[in-house]
Amino acid sequence: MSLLITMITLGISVIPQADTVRTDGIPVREVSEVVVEASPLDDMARRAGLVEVQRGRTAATIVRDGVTDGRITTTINGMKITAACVDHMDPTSSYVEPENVDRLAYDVSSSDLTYGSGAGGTMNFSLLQPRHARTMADVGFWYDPNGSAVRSRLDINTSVDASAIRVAWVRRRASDYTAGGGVDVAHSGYAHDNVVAAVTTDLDKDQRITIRFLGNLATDVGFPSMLMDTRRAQAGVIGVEWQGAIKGLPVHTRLYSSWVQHIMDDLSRSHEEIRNRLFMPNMTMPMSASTRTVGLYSSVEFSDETSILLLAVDATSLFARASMNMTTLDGESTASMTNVGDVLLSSAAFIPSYDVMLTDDVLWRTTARIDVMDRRLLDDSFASMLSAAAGSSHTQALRMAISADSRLRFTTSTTSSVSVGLSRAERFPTHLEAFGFWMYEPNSNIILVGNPSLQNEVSYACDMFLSLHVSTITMSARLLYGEIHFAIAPWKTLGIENTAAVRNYVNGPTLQRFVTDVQVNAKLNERISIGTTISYVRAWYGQTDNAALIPPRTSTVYTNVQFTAFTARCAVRYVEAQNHISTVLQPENRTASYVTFDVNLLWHPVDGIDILFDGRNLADRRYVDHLSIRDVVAPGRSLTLGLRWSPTL
Amino acid sequence: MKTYAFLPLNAIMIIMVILGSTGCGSDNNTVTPAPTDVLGVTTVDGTTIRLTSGAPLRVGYSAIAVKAQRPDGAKPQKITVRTVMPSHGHGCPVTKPIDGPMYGDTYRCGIIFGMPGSWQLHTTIRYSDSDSVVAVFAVTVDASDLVRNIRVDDERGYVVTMIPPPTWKIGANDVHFYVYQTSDVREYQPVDDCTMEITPWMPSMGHGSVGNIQPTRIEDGLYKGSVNFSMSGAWTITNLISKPYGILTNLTFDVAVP
Ligand SMILES: [Cu+2]
Ligand SMILES: [Cu+2]
Repeated sequence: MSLLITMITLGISVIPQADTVRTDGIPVREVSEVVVEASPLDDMARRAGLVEVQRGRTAATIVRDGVTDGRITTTINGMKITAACVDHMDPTSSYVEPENVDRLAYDVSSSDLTYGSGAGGTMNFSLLQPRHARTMADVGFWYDPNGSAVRSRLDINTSVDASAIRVAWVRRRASDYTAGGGVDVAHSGYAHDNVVAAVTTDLDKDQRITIRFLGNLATDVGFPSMLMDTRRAQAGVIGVEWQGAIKGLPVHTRLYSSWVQHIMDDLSRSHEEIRNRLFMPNMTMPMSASTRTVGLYSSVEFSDETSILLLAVDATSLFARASMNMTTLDGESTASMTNVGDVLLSSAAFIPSYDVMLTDDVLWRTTARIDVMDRRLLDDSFASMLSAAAGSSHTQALRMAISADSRLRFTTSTTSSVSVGLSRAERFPTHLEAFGFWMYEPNSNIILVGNPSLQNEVSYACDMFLSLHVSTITMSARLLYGEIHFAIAPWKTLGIENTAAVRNYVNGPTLQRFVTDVQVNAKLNERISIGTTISYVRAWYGQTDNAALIPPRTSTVYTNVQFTAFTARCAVRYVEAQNHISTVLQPENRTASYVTFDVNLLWHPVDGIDILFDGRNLADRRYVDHLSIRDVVAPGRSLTLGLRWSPTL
Repeated sequence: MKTYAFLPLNAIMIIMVILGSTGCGSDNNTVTPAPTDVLGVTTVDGTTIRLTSGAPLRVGYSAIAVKAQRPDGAKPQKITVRTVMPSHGHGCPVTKPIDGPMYGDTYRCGIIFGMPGSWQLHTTIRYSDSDSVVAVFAVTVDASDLVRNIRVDDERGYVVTMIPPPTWKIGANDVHFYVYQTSDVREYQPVDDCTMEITPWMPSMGHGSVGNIQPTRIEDGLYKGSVNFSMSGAWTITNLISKPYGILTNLTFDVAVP
């Protein structure tokens, strides 16, 4: 049986799974993942066939197959962290710094049930891994004149005997960027610091313990698309992981805790802007939100010659709260509001997964995930207010969700395969969908109210993934048709406030999705390869409406050139106009088509020195990304120059 | 035997505990919570009459309880309360209590005082057709903003009062309205054919709230609804009251949500 770890890497290098211990003689569970190397998040996402919802130059939310937020599980080395902001300012991806990440990986199927059961699967960021038998430092500095964006980085690794430690720090600062055509986008600057640290010890041949820490501090992050900016956002993750074997069975256990504290306000906004805005005019409204997540994940694998049974448990507990203070500009009236009133969500899942080789070429995998969740509201006055608004008094519920995925993988040669899968993924409403209140959605100018009596959402999907290697040509294609039943969306109008409609989340009409993704890469010779990617997503609610924030059809043509000390990548990206827009649920504007030219150069003059150039939107095209909230114009030409020094110590 | 005892204000002062006193031990065997503020106690021909209220009296709806005791333990057949403001010569509506029965261990009613100042409460305790006692209590009523007098024409006037919950809070708050009409400012009749549309509003921020329940008639002249305050601060509650022939009035009450 094939023991290969299948990596589908889109024209970029294959990164081995450095953080797994393999015990000799035991079959290894295969994974078919899209893996991308660390690079700026937008680039990483783009290369992985993902896009992001843009709210400025930072804190983008990953979108996959037309779904985002609660439908995608984002983990950091399998650890969950829960966004605190009720206005989507701090998606989980905003707490990982791409420079401090080894890679981003996700399963090619749409429903990877390992850590969650959303329609979009799981995105797992792996933090930098300590390296054994190596002492090294890596210092980097990048500068982009557009917005005076500065990024600096320090990464140190050392090891003693069977232990290794790595600490890395990234600091990013930028002022307002200039959009294509030369107009500054106000409130688009930011200040970010991110630290990751890990210590790992091999207790013996079969056992490894790793302790990981991630700390992220964001101060003064501007959100041109929002009413407010992030004044201070702190997030932390700490976890201990044990990998080993008990009686020859591979065991993997992880215990972690993560927390987020998010403070936002509109103190950087002019009185004129505040006085004239559509929503909550004449008021400043600082807001603070926090979440705390504790989790345990543990798995064990049983295997024989032709099959592997994996049994796992995934338990988490989340506590969340958010509130807002408001003062009129003249200081005469004050008010305060709770947006999330002490929510406690506790869940536990049991995940059996069975792999069997039906023949030498056919692998059949069936995975199930049985989730149980207890959700409750602990703040009585908030519960009373939300129940009255949402017309529901379910402040406590015990729910179950059952998900299953079955797929067949036919391997036609050592490097080509086709897999087909069917999945049912049932997810619980998020704490914001169930218990959030007065969450502002600026793209459509609507106010969102949670609904404590929401039922689970169930996604059904069938997908096909084809991976072909014919001589020097690599091709992958993915097709997916899915339906999300009882799709949670703010369909119900409760009233109109401040010119904004107040909408309540309900289990609404079925959301249908069709996704197609094609990637072709051809190696012309030892030095040059060319490739193209085309992705197209349609998502719609039957006859009722189109889904909002769906990326338009995008085609990219690129070429990679590689010399001994020099690498270049040039890409032309053509994004079509988006005319399939939402007009009912989350009204949005059509966006026009555009073309961008990007060039990426890496020069390695001497050992230990890298000089980088990253040029984006070289034609300085003025365009609006359809996934940019409130049609904020994208950054114009950006020319980042970087220097990396990695002395061998 | 019919006894009429008029207790002048200065005489009442001697035996009555004026507003603001905390209650003496209330009966433990009452069906509904006993009011605790003792407005007065007097004995007329062997009948001890005790008048209490749940809170200091103020303009608007006040819950009143009357308890009559005779040494032989006889139970009164009927108790009535009539109100008069001596300095103005008018009365005010006396209603059923909003929260429970009129007759239990004590007789309970609500009084919708229309003005602050000195009032007289004439309580008549009837044991039989030929046996009743009357006691008159003088009380002082504080000002509030909870009553609106609407004069439609020379003939008719309406009294509308909002009855807030004991304290306003974030979330759903029960709110009651009483509507009475009068033609002579002495007799008041409940009005049952009103439609109400309440709108909580935060004037400083220009928004309202969702999840309100429009008041509907639940008793003679009494309407019950619910307002949902989504945040603390200064709110108003506007009540657009219509009669079958058209809009009667549009009233606004100020509310501070702590
Ligand atoms: Cu925020
Ligand atoms: Cu307000």
